[in-house]
Amino acid sequence: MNDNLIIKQKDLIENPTPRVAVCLVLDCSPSMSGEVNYGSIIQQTNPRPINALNEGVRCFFAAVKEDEIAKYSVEIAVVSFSGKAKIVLDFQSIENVDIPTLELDMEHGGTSIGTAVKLTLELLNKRKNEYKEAGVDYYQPWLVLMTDGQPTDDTHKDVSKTVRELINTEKLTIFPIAIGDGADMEVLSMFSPKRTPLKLKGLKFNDFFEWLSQSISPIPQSIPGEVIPLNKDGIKGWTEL
Amino acid sequence: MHTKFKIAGAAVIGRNHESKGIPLQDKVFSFRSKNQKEAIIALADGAGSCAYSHIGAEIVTSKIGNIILNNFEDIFKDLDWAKSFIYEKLLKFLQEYTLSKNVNLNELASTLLFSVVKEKKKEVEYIAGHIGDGIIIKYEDGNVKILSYPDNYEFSNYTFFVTSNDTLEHFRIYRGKFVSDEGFILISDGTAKSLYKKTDKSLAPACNLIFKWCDSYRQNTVSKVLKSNLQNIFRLNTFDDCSIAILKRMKKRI
Repeated sequence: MNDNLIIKQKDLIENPTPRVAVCLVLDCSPSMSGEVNYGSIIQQTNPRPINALNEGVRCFFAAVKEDEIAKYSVEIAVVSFSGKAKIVLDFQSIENVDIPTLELDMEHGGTSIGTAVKLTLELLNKRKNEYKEAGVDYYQPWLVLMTDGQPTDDTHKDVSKTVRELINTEKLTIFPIAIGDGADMEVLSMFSPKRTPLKLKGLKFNDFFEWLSQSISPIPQSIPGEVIPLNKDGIKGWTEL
Repeated sequence: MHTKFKIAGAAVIGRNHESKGIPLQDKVFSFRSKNQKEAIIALADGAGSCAYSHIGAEIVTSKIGNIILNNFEDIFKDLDWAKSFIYEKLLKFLQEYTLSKNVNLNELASTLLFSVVKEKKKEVEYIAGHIGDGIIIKYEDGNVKILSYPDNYEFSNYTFFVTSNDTLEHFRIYRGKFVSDEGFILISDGTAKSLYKKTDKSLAPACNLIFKWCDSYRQNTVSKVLKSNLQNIFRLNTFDDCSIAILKRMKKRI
């Protein structure tokens, strides 16, 4: 074909890759040590839940980095919580990120799920505004909430209403996951009007995060009107149904 | 006879659909009357997960032109009334299909962009309309500008469709007159990834180039060239289907 009829790259636009923001909201309260106190005897699970969680988080980051398309699109933030919540990793490109190691918060006992989720929503809103200012398209953000305990304050009551509204208006996707028998499924349900909270099978964090990375992988290639179904068979590998 | 309008268009399947064995969901329609007093271009992008969205796109692009031309003066006079009128007509055609094939209306979901021109006593009037994403580009005074921007809700993979519950609120309709050799380009969101800069809402230089092709080549040639560029260049910048339609009023040669 005549060269005048072939459009050159210089005459086209190069737009930034649309982003999908994923925030991991992870319980790092003392109970995640796996120590059970029987008075004079302290029993320790092996592995320690916090170690298995860290291993799972590392797997998730590695899987996203290896995905040729997801690595340019998926941005991960990590919020840890016990009685207080803190940002362990803010949103950024995954290419040069130092994968964080979560540590138990022995200083602030308790489980303030609401404080953690409120901090997460602020983080997500800030990132979305940054996308808007930079003219970067983005997909619906994901929030993964994992806890092994019951909330020790009432902060979850108000913020769960906000989360429910975001989910019902399709502005957020949430995955509420219970770790062990001590997690309060009813409280987790308050954050998730469309998806029943699931309980992790033992300490199968690796299996969960592998499933999560596979679930997020199609999102950067999705197009308007496309529904990406979750791998329901894959869920059986890491959850107690 | 002097060629008054040139029309051209093309659509190619994207990498997402190709890998999944899903048909091309973008449809393009173009028509020019024998006396060249009327011309239509229309483009629709079927919704990703809807099984019959390529059919929905086919229906709305093939019907919109006649809906407009058969009621041109009334529509031109009252755009508010026109939105409901056009919407109901389109829904009727879609519903006829749902009844005959026993499918749900939302399975036919697609966006819609169109431009219809009519020459009356040496003046050319136009009516253009837009539901969903994609862009309507207007060419006038040798420059391109955006007549209608994409309507994407908040997220990259969300938009509004002809079959959405709140379509009327998001249906944009425009009217005007051509002063000289003006025209329109309709592009789907897949094509827009290469032609529209989101950060500053500007258009790529290629848009002007495409209008210039109409000055130099027959419309069939322009369609082939558009298809080739969509296939070999544009579709590499997106996973989505890519489509484009162009209508240009030609200057009368002395």
